[in-house]
Amino acid sequence: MAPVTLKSLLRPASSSAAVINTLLMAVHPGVCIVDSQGKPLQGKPVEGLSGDVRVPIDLEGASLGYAIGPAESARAAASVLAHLAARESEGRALAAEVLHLYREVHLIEQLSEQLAAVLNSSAVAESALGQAQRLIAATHGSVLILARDSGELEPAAAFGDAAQEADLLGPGSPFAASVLERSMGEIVNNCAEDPRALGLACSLHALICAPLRAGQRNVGLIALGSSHSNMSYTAGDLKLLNTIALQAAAAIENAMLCAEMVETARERAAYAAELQAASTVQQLLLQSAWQATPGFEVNSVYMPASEVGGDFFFIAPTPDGSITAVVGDVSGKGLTAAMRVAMILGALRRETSSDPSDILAGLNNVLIAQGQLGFTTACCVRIALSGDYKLANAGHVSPYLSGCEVSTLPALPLGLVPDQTYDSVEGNLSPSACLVLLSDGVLEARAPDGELYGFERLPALTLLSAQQIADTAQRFGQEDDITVVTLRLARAMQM
Amino acid sequence: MKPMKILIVDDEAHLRTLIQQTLEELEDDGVEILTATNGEEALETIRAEEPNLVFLDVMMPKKNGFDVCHAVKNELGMSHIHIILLTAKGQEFDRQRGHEVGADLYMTKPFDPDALIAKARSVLGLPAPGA
Repeated sequence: MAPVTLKSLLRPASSSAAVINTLLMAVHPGVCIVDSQGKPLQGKPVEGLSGDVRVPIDLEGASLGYAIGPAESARAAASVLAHLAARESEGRALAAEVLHLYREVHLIEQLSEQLAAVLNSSAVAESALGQAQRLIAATHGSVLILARDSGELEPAAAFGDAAQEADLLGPGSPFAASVLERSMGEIVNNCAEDPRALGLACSLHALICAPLRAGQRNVGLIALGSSHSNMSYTAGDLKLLNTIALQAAAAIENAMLCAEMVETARERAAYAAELQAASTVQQLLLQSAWQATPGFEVNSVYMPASEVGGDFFFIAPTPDGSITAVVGDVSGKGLTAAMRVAMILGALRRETSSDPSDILAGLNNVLIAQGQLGFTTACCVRIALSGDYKLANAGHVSPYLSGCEVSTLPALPLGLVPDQTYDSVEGNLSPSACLVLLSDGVLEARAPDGELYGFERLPALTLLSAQQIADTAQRFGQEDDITVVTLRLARAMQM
Repeated sequence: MKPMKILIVDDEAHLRTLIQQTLEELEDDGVEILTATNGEEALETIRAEEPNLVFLDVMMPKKNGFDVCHAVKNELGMSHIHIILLTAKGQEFDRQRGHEVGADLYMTKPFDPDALIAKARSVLGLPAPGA
């Protein structure tokens, strides 16, 4: 702001010019106004006139110039000019204050626009600190952000030689700690005399800090410092820094949330890719679990509820012409369940016995040895070409024979207790009969109104083909993996 | 060489003072700052002084800023005079109107002092201080 001078007061465009001219004409046309160097500004001094006096025109203790002329007129002119200069000075000070506020409004608006455009904590910190530096006098500054994982303060932006002033502006600053502890900004206008700075090496004279608060949480702080010995921060400076801090905090919080969302999306995408790969592997494994079975008509349907299922089935011929079929369900979902299914199918492929009780007992020991968490239910049947069958069940849904539930002996699921035995039942599959093995996804299908498919409907349902059984359950409301295997003697063998 | 001139037109004295005080650093570069308090006075000053740049308020007695701008750009043959409408009216309709009457720029109050002085320097071809 340019200082008030007599020249500026007497300028034609000045609001005071007309008043001064009228006054000078009225009091005495011979009054002359000169500046502090004696340069005439209004009228011409006449040397040697007796009775002329030189009256100083003062503003706040400093002389702006003189009114020269007859004593009474010169004193009147000097008095009015001093008064007008004082009013002009007050007006200019007020205008300067208003212009400063205008600047603040616009810089804060600019900061808001900048912050809205960045989704990176460091960029937000840089913008906020840059704007703070424009609005508040400082030789040094820093923004520290609390790391979400460790809770430690980490430098995010700085200017001046912040590294040299790390004791006061860095993560270990005692002022930073107290500002965060109280969640309130602070002014320290004589750092050297503050007890918290005892023993710290610093050249900063004054310091101002504001917490970065998002909601009820501190996300960091912003600090400015000055090494000038005449620097004193004011409450107005702190309000301004708090305003910047509030905007920056919200933007940093958003940036952090955005980063977390991106990370989560990445993890989900990676998990989805893994699931897809597991699904492909599982489909291949299940396809290979169905070997050619001469003498038998075998149909299977496998409908996982998600990318990978926890159900499995295995069908293999034995050297004596009979077949072994296993349908099961591992507890749990997703990749863990898929891995267990893969392991079970591998164990079944390596199994040398064709006896259902032995197969389940062997599988139980494999699962126990693996230390797998969870359990697995399974039903295993061996059918000879004559139709004689032997069946053992480890906690699985009982099979259905021509629409009737086959009673099996109760036993624990696999993988819970070592060295379990699984007693078997025997029967005969007549040429017209069909044995249906299925998973609980069929009877636990749930309609939109919450109704379960239930056991009551199974006798009639199991008279249908494997595909019809699975489709019916799926339409009713699939909630879990659905597996259906139907076994009957081949027509050629029946002849 | 003809001195460069800026005319500030606003019927509110405190706003004239604020703009004047913002631009007073240009006086060191020999720029003369003139003022007018209404539209008619503005047109008289523009005819007489041919300022290089006019900061023109919109809502004024006697003749509003849109009319003054239209007259300068289309009737007085002084389209070379750079006119910046400086107004509290911020509606798109008003911006459009300012464009139609030939204003070179439309700035809103409260104005950004730094943008105002930068624009004045740019129009007058004056370097930024310290440049």
